Amino acid sequence: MSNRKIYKAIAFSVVKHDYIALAAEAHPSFDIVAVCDEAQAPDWVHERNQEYADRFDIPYIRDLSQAIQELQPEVAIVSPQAERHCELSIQAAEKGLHVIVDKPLSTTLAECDRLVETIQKHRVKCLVWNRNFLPALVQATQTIESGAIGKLESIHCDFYFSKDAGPPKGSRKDGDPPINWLERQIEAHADGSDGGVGEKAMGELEIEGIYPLGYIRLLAPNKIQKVFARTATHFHQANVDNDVDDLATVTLEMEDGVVGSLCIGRIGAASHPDIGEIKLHILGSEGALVISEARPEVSLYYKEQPPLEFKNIRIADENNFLLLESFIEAIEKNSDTILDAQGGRDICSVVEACVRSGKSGKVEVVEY
Amino acid sequence: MFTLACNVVSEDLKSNIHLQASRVPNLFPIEEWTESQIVVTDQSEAALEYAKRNQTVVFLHPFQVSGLTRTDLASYNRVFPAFLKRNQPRIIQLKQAVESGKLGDTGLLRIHRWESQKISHPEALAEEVDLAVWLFDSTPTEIYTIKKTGYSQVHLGFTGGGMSIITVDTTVPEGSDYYSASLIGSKGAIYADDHRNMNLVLKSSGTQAIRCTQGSMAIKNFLNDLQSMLTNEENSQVDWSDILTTARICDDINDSAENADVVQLGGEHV
Repeated sequence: MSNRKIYKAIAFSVVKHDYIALAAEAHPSFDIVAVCDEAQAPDWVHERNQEYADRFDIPYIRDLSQAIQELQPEVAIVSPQAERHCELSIQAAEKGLHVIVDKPLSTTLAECDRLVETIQKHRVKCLVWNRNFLPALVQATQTIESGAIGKLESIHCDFYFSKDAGPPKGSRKDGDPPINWLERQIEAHADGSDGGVGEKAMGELEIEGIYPLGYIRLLAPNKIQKVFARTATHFHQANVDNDVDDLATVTLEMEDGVVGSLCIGRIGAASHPDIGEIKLHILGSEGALVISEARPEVSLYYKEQPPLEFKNIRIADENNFLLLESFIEAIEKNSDTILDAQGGRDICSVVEACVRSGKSGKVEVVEY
Repeated sequence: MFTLACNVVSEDLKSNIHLQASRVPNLFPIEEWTESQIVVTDQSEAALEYAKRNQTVVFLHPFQVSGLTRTDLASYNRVFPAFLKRNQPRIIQLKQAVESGKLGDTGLLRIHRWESQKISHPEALAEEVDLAVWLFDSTPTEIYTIKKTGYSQVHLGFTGGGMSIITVDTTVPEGSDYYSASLIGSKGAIYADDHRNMNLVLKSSGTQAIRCTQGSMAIKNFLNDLQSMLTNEENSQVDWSDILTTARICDDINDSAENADVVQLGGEHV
């Protein structure tokens, strides 16, 4: 019989993805007792929340305050549309709940700042969902900490997602209306390519940038001070119609002369046999490190294999479990989470500077 | 049939060039450069001397010399720069993938080059910049550069939204050479990456990765291209104009690093 404390949790909307809620369901220290959301949320949001609640035979309550009052949870798992991430997290934190929030933290810096303030004021813990405990990232962290490559000098991340995102660029016919971002995201839920679900259109830097920038933050604690970015709409009509990037390169200038770079894009399913080429190249004073995020993996090939099925399967991935373990440790030992609200906010600020630079063609300063 | 001789500092390089030349139709390697029709050299002064004697000259380091010398060499129509980097097997695959149209519109080129050998840093960087210009088939519209001792990070923008980041480090420890080039197009991607081409040595002191090299194919491929051009008198890539263009871009790269600012070279910012 385990002596572990069980944390009662409520899913504050399960709209964007269900992976955080599912991770908590699978963890021995969490018990998700309900799904809740604001009554005025649109119908499609209620439908998704209800589906999740039905799947796990838990109630769906269309009132956040009521859910908290009735069920007395300790943790909120927040995964609504991106522009509501901070608002729902704030409502939870104000009631004393610890928060696990989906990425990206927000679509605006002001909202991030509001969340950071609330988290600090109410002395609760906040974990911004990330992939920093993937086996390859754990290995990279340990290698750098061991001193094997000496003092960190530069860090570079490639983060190419080989997913499609609707019709290709150039496919809109004369007279056709531009693609509506939210409608496209709702439609994309079926194949999981709806990482940017929400009213506000977001580019790949905004949607996925937190992952590679989270890696860089983990491995190079030096703050990013300046960025120069090139951004483009290269692949997808939805990105063209909504003027948001699907391909970007970024030069990063950090404290203490450390430099870095990021290449990111939603490069289409044809461009990689698996989820995408995701790598880290790190140079130190005594050596260097090349890390493939996908490893370890096994390869599977067979007759009549569906073309889009991944040929290489990631294994030994305990990211979800380890994230939640570290979250519990932060609560119980009053330590920092691996990526807290301030960290998520700082990454949003880097992304915001990148988007600015992409439009201005100039080097932009990151605001802290 | 052309006779070819070498005047290079390294005996190993000379042997290798002779060996590769012997694999190319219509090239016949000989020892005496004074009697040969083609001379391969790594010394600019010698290259100019041969050119004055109306010998055909291949100069191995077109990016290693000063701008004045480069211009001087380029003024002789029988002096040819060696494009060894472009002729590496992996780079040929990149170029063919672009030219075949399989990748669609070229969008992003990412290059990491780490060298532990005593190689000229500007030359190594120029070779990679040349590749970017060659693969995008256009010159950059924007340049942003960060330089540290033995390290350059060059960010290029191209018309139509193309982009490239090139990092060159010539300070990594002995035996730590590494190369990676990935090119993302609108319809596909190609990854030429040493990380995928490592074998393992397992021994009592631990596991060591060993890199599969590109062999000497670049020399053979280049000489093949050269003899084809000399035989058929075709226009080919064996030409100084690209070298001079890249050298000018490298000047802009240095300006960007010195001024810590973006160099705008015209064209649209997308």
